[in-house]
Amino acid sequence: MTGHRPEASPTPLVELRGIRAAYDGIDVLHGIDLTVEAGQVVAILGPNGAGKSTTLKVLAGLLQPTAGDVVLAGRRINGARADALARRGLCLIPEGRGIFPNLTVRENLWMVTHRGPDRKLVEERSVARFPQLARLMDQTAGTMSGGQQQMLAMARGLATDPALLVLDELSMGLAPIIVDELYATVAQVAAEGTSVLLVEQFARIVMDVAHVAAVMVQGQIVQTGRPRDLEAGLSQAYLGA
Amino acid sequence: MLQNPDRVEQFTAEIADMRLPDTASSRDRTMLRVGVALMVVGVVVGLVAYLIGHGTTNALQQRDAIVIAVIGLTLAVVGGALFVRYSMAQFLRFWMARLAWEQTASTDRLVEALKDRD
Repeated sequence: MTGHRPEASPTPLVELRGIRAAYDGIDVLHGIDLTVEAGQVVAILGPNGAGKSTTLKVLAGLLQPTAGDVVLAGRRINGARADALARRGLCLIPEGRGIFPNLTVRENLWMVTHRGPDRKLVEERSVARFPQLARLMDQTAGTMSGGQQQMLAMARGLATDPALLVLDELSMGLAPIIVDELYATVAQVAAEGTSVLLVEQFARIVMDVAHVAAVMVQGQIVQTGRPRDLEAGLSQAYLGA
Repeated sequence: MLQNPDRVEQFTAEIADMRLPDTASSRDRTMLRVGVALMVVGVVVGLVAYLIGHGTTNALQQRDAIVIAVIGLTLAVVGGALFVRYSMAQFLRFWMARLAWEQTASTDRLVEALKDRD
Protein backbone atom coordinates (compact mmCIF):
# COMPACT_ATOMS: atom_id res chain seq x y z
CA MET A 1 0.00 0.00 0.00
CA THR A 2 2.92 2.27 0.54
CA GLY A 3 2.98 5.07 -1.98
CA HIS A 4 6.03 7.14 -2.28
CA ARG A 5 5.95 10.84 -1.82
CA PRO A 6 4.33 12.64 -4.73
CA GLU A 7 6.17 15.36 -6.56
CA ALA A 8 5.52 18.60 -4.77
CA SER A 9 3.53 21.11 -6.81
CA PRO A 10 4.49 24.78 -6.51
CA THR A 11 1.41 25.60 -4.45
CA PRO A 12 0.33 23.26 -1.68
CA LEU A 13 -3.28 22.16 -1.85
CA VAL A 14 -3.84 22.89 1.84
CA GLU A 15 -2.00 25.18 4.20
CA LEU A 16 -3.04 25.77 7.76
CA ARG A 17 -1.09 28.69 9.17
CA GLY A 18 -1.15 29.39 12.87
CA ILE A 19 -4.70 28.13 13.30
CA ARG A 20 -6.31 28.79 16.63
CA ALA A 21 -9.85 27.73 17.41
CA ALA A 22 -12.13 27.66 20.42
CA TYR A 23 -15.42 26.23 21.61
CA ASP A 24 -17.43 28.64 23.75
CA GLY A 25 -14.35 30.74 24.38
CA ILE A 26 -12.20 27.81 25.44
CA ASP A 27 -9.14 27.45 23.19
CA VAL A 28 -8.66 23.97 21.74
CA LEU A 29 -6.21 24.66 18.92
CA HIS A 30 -3.09 26.63 19.77
CA GLY A 31 -1.46 27.54 16.46
CA ILE A 32 -1.64 24.66 14.01
CA ASP A 33 0.68 24.72 10.99
CA LEU A 34 0.14 21.97 8.46
CA THR A 35 0.66 21.54 4.73
CA VAL A 36 -0.82 19.01 2.32
CA GLU A 37 0.72 18.89 -1.13
CA ALA A 38 -1.35 17.83 -4.13
CA GLY A 39 -1.52 14.05 -4.34
CA GLN A 40 -0.20 13.58 -0.84
CA VAL A 41 -1.69 11.57 2.05
CA VAL A 42 -1.20 13.33 5.36
CA ALA A 43 -2.23 11.75 8.64
CA ILE A 44 -2.86 13.65 11.84
CA LEU A 45 -2.28 11.31 14.74
CA GLY A 46 -2.83 11.83 18.38
CA PRO A 47 -4.74 10.81 21.47
CA ASN A 48 -8.38 11.49 22.11
CA GLY A 49 -9.05 15.18 22.76
CA ALA A 50 -5.91 16.42 20.99
CA GLY A 51 -7.90 18.64 18.62
CA LYS A 52 -7.60 16.50 15.49
CA SER A 53 -11.26 16.61 14.53
CA THR A 54 -11.43 20.32 15.33
CA THR A 55 -8.58 20.89 12.87
CA LEU A 56 -10.60 19.13 10.18
CA LYS A 57 -13.70 21.17 11.06
CA VAL A 58 -11.75 24.37 10.62
CA LEU A 59 -10.43 23.20 7.26
CA ALA A 60 -13.89 22.16 6.07
CA GLY A 61 -15.46 25.47 7.06
CA LEU A 62 -17.56 24.01 9.87
CA LEU A 63 -15.76 26.03 12.53
CA GLN A 64 -14.27 29.48 12.11
CA PRO A 65 -10.74 29.87 13.45
CA THR A 66 -10.19 32.58 16.03
CA ALA A 67 -6.79 33.27 14.47
CA GLY A 68 -4.63 32.06 11.61
CA ASP A 69 -5.24 31.38 7.94
CA VAL A 70 -6.82 28.50 6.10
CA VAL A 71 -5.32 28.49 2.61
CA LEU A 72 -6.63 26.21 -0.13
CA ALA A 73 -4.81 26.01 -3.45
CA GLY A 74 -3.04 29.26 -2.63
CA ARG A 75 -6.10 31.25 -1.61
CA ARG A 76 -7.01 32.28 1.93
CA ILE A 77 -10.53 30.98 2.47
CA ASN A 78 -11.30 31.96 6.07
CA GLY A 79 -15.07 32.45 6.35
CA ALA A 80 -15.91 30.22 3.37
CA ARG A 81 -19.04 28.20 3.88
CA ALA A 82 -18.74 24.45 4.28
CA ASP A 83 -21.22 23.76 1.46
CA ALA A 84 -19.31 26.06 -0.91
CA LEU A 85 -16.10 24.15 -0.22
CA ALA A 86 -17.88 20.81 -0.62
CA ARG A 87 -19.21 21.87 -4.01
CA ARG A 88 -15.68 22.62 -5.16
CA GLY A 89 -14.29 19.26 -4.15
CA LEU A 90 -13.42 19.27 -0.45
CA CYS A 91 -15.07 16.12 0.80
CA LEU A 92 -15.25 15.57 4.55
CA ILE A 93 -16.30 12.18 5.86
CA PRO A 94 -16.96 12.95 9.49
CA GLU A 95 -16.54 10.81 12.55
CA GLY A 96 -19.82 8.92 12.86
CA ARG A 97 -20.07 8.70 9.05
CA GLY A 98 -22.75 11.33 8.48
CA ILE A 99 -25.13 9.07 6.61
CA PHE A 100 -28.91 9.43 6.75
CA PRO A 101 -29.99 6.37 8.74
CA ASN A 102 -33.63 6.52 7.70
CA LEU A 103 -32.88 6.66 3.96
CA THR A 104 -31.89 3.71 1.80
CA VAL A 105 -28.36 3.26 0.52
CA ARG A 106 -29.50 4.39 -2.92
CA GLU A 107 -31.14 7.54 -1.52
CA ASN A 108 -28.03 8.30 0.53
CA LEU A 109 -25.95 8.11 -2.64
CA TRP A 110 -28.36 10.40 -4.47
CA MET A 111 -27.62 13.07 -1.89
CA VAL A 112 -24.41 13.99 -3.70
CA THR A 113 -25.92 14.53 -7.13
CA HIS A 114 -25.75 18.29 -6.50
CA ARG A 115 -22.02 18.02 -7.28
CA GLY A 116 -22.74 17.18 -10.90
CA PRO A 117 -22.92 13.43 -11.47
CA ASP A 118 -26.42 12.08 -12.05
CA ARG A 119 -28.02 9.39 -9.92
CA LYS A 120 -26.99 6.52 -12.18
CA LEU A 121 -23.38 7.64 -12.36
CA VAL A 122 -23.17 8.04 -8.59
CA GLU A 123 -24.52 4.52 -8.12
CA GLU A 124 -22.14 3.09 -10.73
CA ARG A 125 -19.09 4.80 -9.21
CA SER A 126 -20.08 3.62 -5.73
CA VAL A 127 -20.60 0.01 -6.72
CA ALA A 128 -17.36 0.01 -8.70
CA ARG A 129 -15.54 1.14 -5.56
CA PHE A 130 -17.48 -1.05 -3.10
CA PRO A 131 -19.17 -3.98 -4.89
CA GLN A 132 -20.85 -5.03 -1.61
CA LEU A 133 -23.13 -2.01 -1.88
CA ALA A 134 -24.83 -3.40 -5.00
CA ARG A 135 -27.00 -5.83 -3.04
CA LEU A 136 -27.70 -3.31 -0.28
CA MET A 137 -29.08 -0.52 -2.48
CA ASP A 138 -32.63 -0.73 -1.15
CA GLN A 139 -31.68 -1.39 2.46
CA THR A 140 -32.21 1.35 5.04
CA ALA A 141 -28.76 2.69 5.87
CA GLY A 142 -29.39 2.68 9.63
CA THR A 143 -29.92 -1.08 9.61
CA MET A 144 -26.48 -1.83 8.13
CA SER A 145 -23.36 -2.76 10.07
CA GLY A 146 -20.84 -0.07 11.01
CA GLY A 147 -18.46 -1.23 8.30
CA GLN A 148 -21.15 -1.12 5.64
CA GLN A 149 -22.16 2.36 6.80
CA GLN A 150 -18.57 3.54 6.57
CA MET A 151 -18.34 2.07 3.06
CA LEU A 152 -21.49 3.94 2.13
CA ALA A 153 -20.08 7.18 3.54
CA MET A 154 -16.85 6.70 1.59
CA ALA A 155 -18.63 5.65 -1.59
CA ARG A 156 -20.87 8.69 -1.39
CA GLY A 157 -17.91 10.99 -0.86
CA LEU A 158 -15.77 9.46 -3.56
CA ALA A 159 -18.62 9.55 -6.09
CA THR A 160 -18.26 13.33 -6.09
CA ASP A 161 -14.72 13.05 -7.48
CA PRO A 162 -13.18 15.08 -4.67
CA ALA A 163 -9.90 16.93 -5.06
CA LEU A 164 -9.29 16.67 -1.34
CA LEU A 165 -10.63 13.84 0.79
CA VAL A 166 -10.78 14.55 4.51
CA LEU A 167 -11.36 11.52 6.73
CA ASP A 168 -12.13 11.70 10.41
CA GLU A 169 -11.45 8.53 12.39
CA LEU A 170 -12.24 6.06 9.64
CA SER A 171 -11.55 3.11 11.93
CA MET A 172 -13.84 4.21 14.75
CA GLY A 173 -15.77 1.22 16.10
CA LEU A 174 -14.92 -1.09 13.22
CA ALA A 175 -13.40 -4.56 13.09
CA PRO A 176 -9.72 -4.64 12.04
CA ILE A 177 -10.48 -6.56 8.84
CA ILE A 178 -12.97 -3.88 7.74
CA VAL A 179 -10.51 -1.13 8.66
CA ASP A 180 -7.84 -2.77 6.51
CA GLU A 181 -10.29 -2.94 3.60
CA LEU A 182 -11.24 0.72 3.98
CA TYR A 183 -7.64 1.87 4.19
CA ALA A 184 -6.84 -0.19 1.10
CA THR A 185 -9.46 1.93 -0.64
CA VAL A 186 -7.88 5.10 0.75
CA ALA A 187 -4.51 3.96 -0.61
CA GLN A 188 -6.12 3.28 -3.98
CA VAL A 189 -7.80 6.72 -4.01
CA ALA A 190 -4.48 8.33 -3.11
CA ALA A 191 -2.71 6.37 -5.84
CA GLU A 192 -5.23 7.79 -8.30
CA GLY A 193 -4.04 11.25 -7.31
CA THR A 194 -6.59 12.49 -4.79
CA SER A 195 -5.06 14.32 -1.86
CA VAL A 196 -6.07 12.89 1.49
CA LEU A 197 -5.95 14.42 4.94
CA LEU A 198 -6.93 11.96 7.59
CA VAL A 199 -7.20 11.88 11.32
CA GLU A 200 -6.60 8.67 13.18
CA GLN A 201 -6.30 7.76 16.81
CA PHE A 202 -4.83 4.33 16.07
CA ALA A 203 -1.57 5.37 14.53
CA ARG A 204 -0.27 2.05 13.27
CA ILE A 205 -3.17 1.64 10.86
CA VAL A 206 -2.02 4.54 8.69
CA MET A 207 1.72 3.85 8.68
CA ASP A 208 1.59 2.22 5.25
CA VAL A 209 -0.83 4.69 3.69
CA ALA A 210 0.39 8.14 4.70
CA HIS A 211 3.29 10.01 3.10
CA VAL A 212 3.49 12.44 6.00
CA ALA A 213 2.27 12.21 9.57
CA ALA A 214 1.77 14.91 12.15
CA VAL A 215 1.48 14.10 15.82
CA MET A 216 -0.92 16.31 17.68
CA VAL A 217 -1.15 16.71 21.42
CA GLN A 218 -3.27 19.19 23.37
CA GLY A 219 -4.08 21.37 20.41
CA GLN A 220 -0.57 21.57 19.02
CA ILE A 221 1.39 19.67 16.41
CA VAL A 222 4.44 18.40 18.22
CA GLN A 223 6.08 16.33 15.48
CA THR A 224 5.86 16.11 11.71
CA GLY A 225 7.64 13.72 9.40
CA ARG A 226 7.52 10.40 7.65
CA PRO A 227 5.26 7.98 9.56
CA ARG A 228 8.00 5.42 10.18
CA ASP A 229 10.30 8.11 11.57
CA LEU A 230 7.67 9.18 14.06
CA GLU A 231 6.76 5.70 15.20
CA ALA A 232 9.19 5.70 18.11
CA GLY A 233 7.87 8.93 19.58
CA LEU A 234 4.22 8.05 19.30
CA SER A 235 3.80 6.22 22.58
CA GLN A 236 5.46 9.13 24.36
CA ALA A 237 3.00 11.53 22.74
CA TYR A 238 0.02 9.33 23.55
CA LEU A 239 1.03 8.79 27.15
CA GLY A 240 1.81 12.46 27.63
CA ALA A 241 5.27 11.70 28.94
CA MET B 1 2.81 10.46 -8.26
CA LEU B 2 0.22 13.02 -9.05
CA GLN B 3 -1.97 11.32 -11.61
CA ASN B 4 -4.79 13.78 -12.04
CA PRO B 5 -3.30 17.26 -12.37
CA ASP B 6 -6.47 18.34 -14.22
CA ARG B 7 -8.55 17.77 -11.09
CA VAL B 8 -6.10 19.82 -9.04
CA GLU B 9 -6.15 22.59 -11.64
CA GLN B 10 -9.94 22.55 -11.68
CA PHE B 11 -10.02 22.71 -7.87
CA THR B 12 -7.51 25.55 -7.86
CA ALA B 13 -9.56 27.48 -10.42
CA GLU B 14 -12.83 26.92 -8.55
CA ILE B 15 -11.31 27.99 -5.24
CA ALA B 16 -9.85 31.08 -6.91
CA ASP B 17 -13.29 32.01 -8.31
CA MET B 18 -15.13 31.32 -5.07
CA ARG B 19 -16.88 34.26 -3.54
CA LEU B 20 -16.20 34.62 0.13
CA PRO B 21 -19.29 36.06 1.75
CA ASP B 22 -19.44 37.64 5.14
CA THR B 23 -19.80 35.09 7.84
CA ALA B 24 -23.44 34.29 8.53
CA SER B 25 -23.37 35.80 11.99
CA SER B 26 -22.05 39.17 10.82
CA ARG B 27 -24.65 39.28 8.02
CA ASP B 28 -27.39 38.42 10.52
CA ARG B 29 -26.22 41.21 12.79
CA THR B 30 -26.18 43.70 9.91
CA MET B 31 -29.65 42.75 8.72
CA LEU B 32 -30.97 42.93 12.28
CA ARG B 33 -29.67 46.48 12.58
CA VAL B 34 -31.14 47.38 9.18
CA GLY B 35 -34.49 46.03 10.36
CA VAL B 36 -34.44 48.13 13.53
CA ALA B 37 -33.39 51.22 11.56
CA LEU B 38 -36.20 50.76 9.04
CA MET B 39 -38.78 50.40 11.81
CA VAL B 40 -37.59 53.62 13.42
CA VAL B 41 -37.46 55.48 10.09
CA GLY B 42 -40.94 54.18 9.19
CA VAL B 43 -42.44 55.49 12.43
CA VAL B 44 -40.70 58.87 12.01
CA VAL B 45 -41.92 59.17 8.39
CA GLY B 46 -45.45 58.33 9.56
CA LEU B 47 -45.29 61.06 12.24
CA VAL B 48 -43.95 63.57 9.74
CA ALA B 49 -46.79 62.67 7.37
CA TYR B 50 -49.29 63.21 10.17
CA LEU B 51 -47.86 66.64 10.94
CA ILE B 52 -47.92 67.62 7.24
CA GLY B 53 -51.53 66.47 6.87
CA HIS B 54 -52.59 68.08 10.17
CA GLY B 55 -50.94 71.41 9.39
CA THR B 56 -52.77 72.17 6.17
CA THR B 57 -56.29 72.41 4.80
CA ASN B 58 -55.02 71.93 1.26
CA ALA B 59 -56.45 68.60 0.02
CA LEU B 60 -53.54 68.01 -2.40
CA GLN B 61 -50.97 68.37 0.39
CA GLN B 62 -53.05 66.06 2.59
CA ARG B 63 -53.09 63.45 -0.15
CA ASP B 64 -49.29 63.75 -0.42
CA ALA B 65 -49.12 63.25 3.32
CA ILE B 66 -51.22 60.08 2.99
CA VAL B 67 -48.76 58.72 0.39
CA ILE B 68 -45.82 59.59 2.66
CA ALA B 69 -47.56 57.87 5.57
CA VAL B 70 -48.09 54.71 3.51
CA ILE B 71 -44.38 54.73 2.58
CA GLY B 72 -43.54 55.07 6.28
CA LEU B 73 -45.85 52.18 7.10
CA THR B 74 -44.25 50.04 4.41
CA LEU B 75 -40.76 50.78 5.77
CA ALA B 76 -41.86 49.87 9.28
CA VAL B 77 -43.44 46.58 8.13
CA VAL B 78 -40.37 45.60 6.08
CA GLY B 79 -38.12 46.55 9.00
CA GLY B 80 -40.26 44.48 11.36
CA ALA B 81 -40.07 41.47 9.03
CA LEU B 82 -36.27 41.75 8.81
CA PHE B 83 -36.03 42.08 12.58
CA VAL B 84 -38.15 38.98 13.18
CA ARG B 85 -36.37 36.99 10.46
CA TYR B 86 -32.83 37.71 11.66
CA SER B 87 -33.46 37.79 15.38
CA MET B 88 -34.96 34.31 15.10
CA ALA B 89 -32.38 32.87 12.68
CA GLN B 90 -30.14 31.64 15.45
CA PHE B 91 -33.05 30.04 17.27
CA LEU B 92 -34.37 28.41 14.11
CA ARG B 93 -30.95 26.94 13.30
CA PHE B 94 -30.86 25.40 16.74
CA TRP B 95 -34.40 24.14 16.30
CA MET B 96 -33.57 22.53 12.94
CA ALA B 97 -30.48 20.85 14.39
CA ARG B 98 -32.54 19.53 17.28
CA LEU B 99 -35.21 18.23 14.90
CA ALA B 100 -32.58 16.40 12.83
CA TRP B 101 -31.03 14.93 15.96
CA GLU B 102 -34.39 13.75 17.30
CA GLN B 103 -35.21 12.12 13.98
CA THR B 104 -31.90 10.26 14.01
CA ALA B 105 -32.41 9.16 17.62
CA SER B 106 -35.93 8.00 16.79
CA THR B 107 -34.62 5.92 13.87
CA ASP B 108 -31.95 4.41 16.11
CA ARG B 109 -34.59 3.42 18.64
CA LEU B 110 -36.71 1.90 15.89
CA VAL B 111 -33.76 -0.08 14.54
CA GLU B 112 -32.94 -1.37 18.04
CA ALA B 113 -36.57 -2.37 18.60
CA LEU B 114 -36.66 -4.24 15.28
CA LYS B 115 -33.40 -6.00 16.11
CA ASP B 116 -34.89 -7.19 19.42
CA ARG B 117 -37.89 -8.64 17.58
CA ASP B 118 -35.56 -10.69 15.38
